[in-house]
Amino acid sequence: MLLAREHRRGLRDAPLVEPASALVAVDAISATNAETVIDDYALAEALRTEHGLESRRSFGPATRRRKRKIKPLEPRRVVPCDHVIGHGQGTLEIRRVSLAEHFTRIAVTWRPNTPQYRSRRRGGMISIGLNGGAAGPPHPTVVDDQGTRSGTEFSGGGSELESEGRLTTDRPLARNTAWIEIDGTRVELAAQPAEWSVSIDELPEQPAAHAYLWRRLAIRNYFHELESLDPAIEALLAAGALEPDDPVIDEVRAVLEAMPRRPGMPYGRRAQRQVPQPWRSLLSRQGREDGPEGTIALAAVTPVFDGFSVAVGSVESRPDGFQIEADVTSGTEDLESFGWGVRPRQLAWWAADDRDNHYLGHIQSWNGGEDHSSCDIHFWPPLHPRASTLRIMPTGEKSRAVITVPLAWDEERSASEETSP
Amino acid sequence: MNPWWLGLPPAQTTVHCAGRHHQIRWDAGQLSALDHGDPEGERALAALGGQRCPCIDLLDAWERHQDDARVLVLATRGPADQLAASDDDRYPHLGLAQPQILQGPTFARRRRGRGFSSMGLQAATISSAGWTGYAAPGRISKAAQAESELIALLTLGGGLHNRLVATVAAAWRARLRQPDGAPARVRPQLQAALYGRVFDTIQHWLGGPAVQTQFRMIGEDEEPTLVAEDGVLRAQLPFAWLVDVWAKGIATIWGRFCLAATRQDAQTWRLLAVGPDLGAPVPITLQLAEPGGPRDVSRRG
Repeated sequence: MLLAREHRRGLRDAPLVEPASALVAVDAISATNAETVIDDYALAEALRTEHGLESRRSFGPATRRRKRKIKPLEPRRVVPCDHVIGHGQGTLEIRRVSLAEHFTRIAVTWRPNTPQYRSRRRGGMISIGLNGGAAGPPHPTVVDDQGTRSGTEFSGGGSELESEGRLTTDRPLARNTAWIEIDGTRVELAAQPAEWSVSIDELPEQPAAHAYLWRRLAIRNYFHELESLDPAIEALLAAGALEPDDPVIDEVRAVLEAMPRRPGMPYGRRAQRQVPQPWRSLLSRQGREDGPEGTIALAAVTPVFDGFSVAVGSVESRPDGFQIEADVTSGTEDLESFGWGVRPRQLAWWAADDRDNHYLGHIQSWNGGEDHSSCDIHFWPPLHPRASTLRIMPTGEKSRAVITVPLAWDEERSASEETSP
Repeated sequence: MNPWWLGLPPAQTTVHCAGRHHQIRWDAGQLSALDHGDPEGERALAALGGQRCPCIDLLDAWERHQDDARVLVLATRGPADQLAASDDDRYPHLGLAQPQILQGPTFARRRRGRGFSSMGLQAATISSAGWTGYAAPGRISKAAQAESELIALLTLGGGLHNRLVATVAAAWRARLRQPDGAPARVRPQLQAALYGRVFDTIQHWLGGPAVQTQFRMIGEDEEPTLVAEDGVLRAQLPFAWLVDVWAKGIATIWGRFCLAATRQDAQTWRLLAVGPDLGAPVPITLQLAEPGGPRDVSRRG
């Protein structure tokens, strides 16, 4: 590979990672040895690339993962809202407020009065981290009922017509506050989050190579395209962990062809062969745009399973998909949210409804800390319009949590009320 | 000791040490600092708090890495596989053989804590743009120190980096001859080191589009072969090929691929080479007539 210079990639995108992680998954090689080989390759690449050593020094050589004790997350207080505040340059819709020990976030939609030009399609991402400005969302001051006053920062994206995101306060507000004032406009926090329940399921036994390939298909992100599973398949064949005539090889290839190249991109061609559940259900409904519209606030927290604890703060459904707001332990070091490591510590985000439809989620936005990471998980295909219960299933290697949420959309919410400061 | 170095010419490069241009020379398997008459004495002085010097640091680094299998996987595979970092002007921070690098308070512009040490230099400084590899000993991890040393050694000029590859390959060849001499974790590195250089040699020997190649590393008691079967080149060679053939620059000779080189005496080698038609191997006798006549190798053996 070193000699095939036309195939060179970035230092963080070593082509050895995919086969190495497959071999580690089936215990054909230890993670430590695999990381050593990959690190040697990365240094050899750096030695052969202009400024490669400088890049390596900037990123640093691979670091060993530290084991940490995982504590269950503390549930946040999530209050659904439906409040629209008039603003000089537009309207700010307050959708929900999340109050946690260390932060307060307010989910908002910003609609400016006079867009300068029109976006080609609704929902096109234009900005992240907007902070006021002529057409950008405001960054209001927020006060709680105990006198805590805080500035806010907006993060999110959207089009010139509408931006969605969250206002994060500079300091946490009181978790038990009865109301907040946003630039002087009071928003009562009286509504209760939806009911939920949680259980932990052990995953059924299956050959390690099968488990690895299906899991690799399920864990995708917006930042790295999974072009092929063949490097992993070839490594598993060479290690004797797969037989050449194993039907799973064709099944995973068929699923990969039919899935979007990366989340958010157009779907692939229809699967050319029958694939097992839950993939069959997933692929059969992809491309639809008949999902219900609405938001459900909840404060669900799982116990520790497979070394993770997950909190889900909301489910927001749109015609073309749905999204949850989640916190995950452990923190950034173990999540590897933007890449695929030799021994990735990532969750597959599955969901299912009461009509036996399945959904797959991908990390859409993410920010990490020492102890936990916060992320928005976007699911596809859209929720079935007649689904009445949703099971959100963050799935580890051995077990998964099942958070069950009744899908009661806007009926429980009060009508919108527009006020002016 | 097996005189594996026979046939290899000396190699020499310039190191900037204590404000002067010093010579480091490899000859007959030994590295020496020509401008330092008493390296042991200088080491002792440095241990007592005296100033260390790049020449002695280089000798020490060479000693530490002369059986480091990472050298084999990181170093160049051949003339077409040049290390970008070997351009001295582009990588002044490596600290060796850099005309810009001087030592002494007059020119000092120190920047600490960038992670790479420069062979443990106490005060390597740079007089132009860029940054030095300065880091006080003990301020960086052993792994980072080892990597820094490796980079410096692998980017040495004057052919010294190839002598280091030969040195390391000879060390591992000797270990492979012992039962359990090469632990399982090292074998993939040795195999990759051999395969990469065989592949590179074949590609440039045959030219044209990439040839599909299958490779097997064999023991020294097996017969080396290079044949074509079903459009695939199948090579099987021992690890010793790296020492006996590749390191001596005779991987191809007279348009042929050299499968093996056996020393007949101090100046004569018998090669076994195969032509581009991949027919039967033919023997070639190679005689090296040095100006001073045959060398007495027994003193080094």
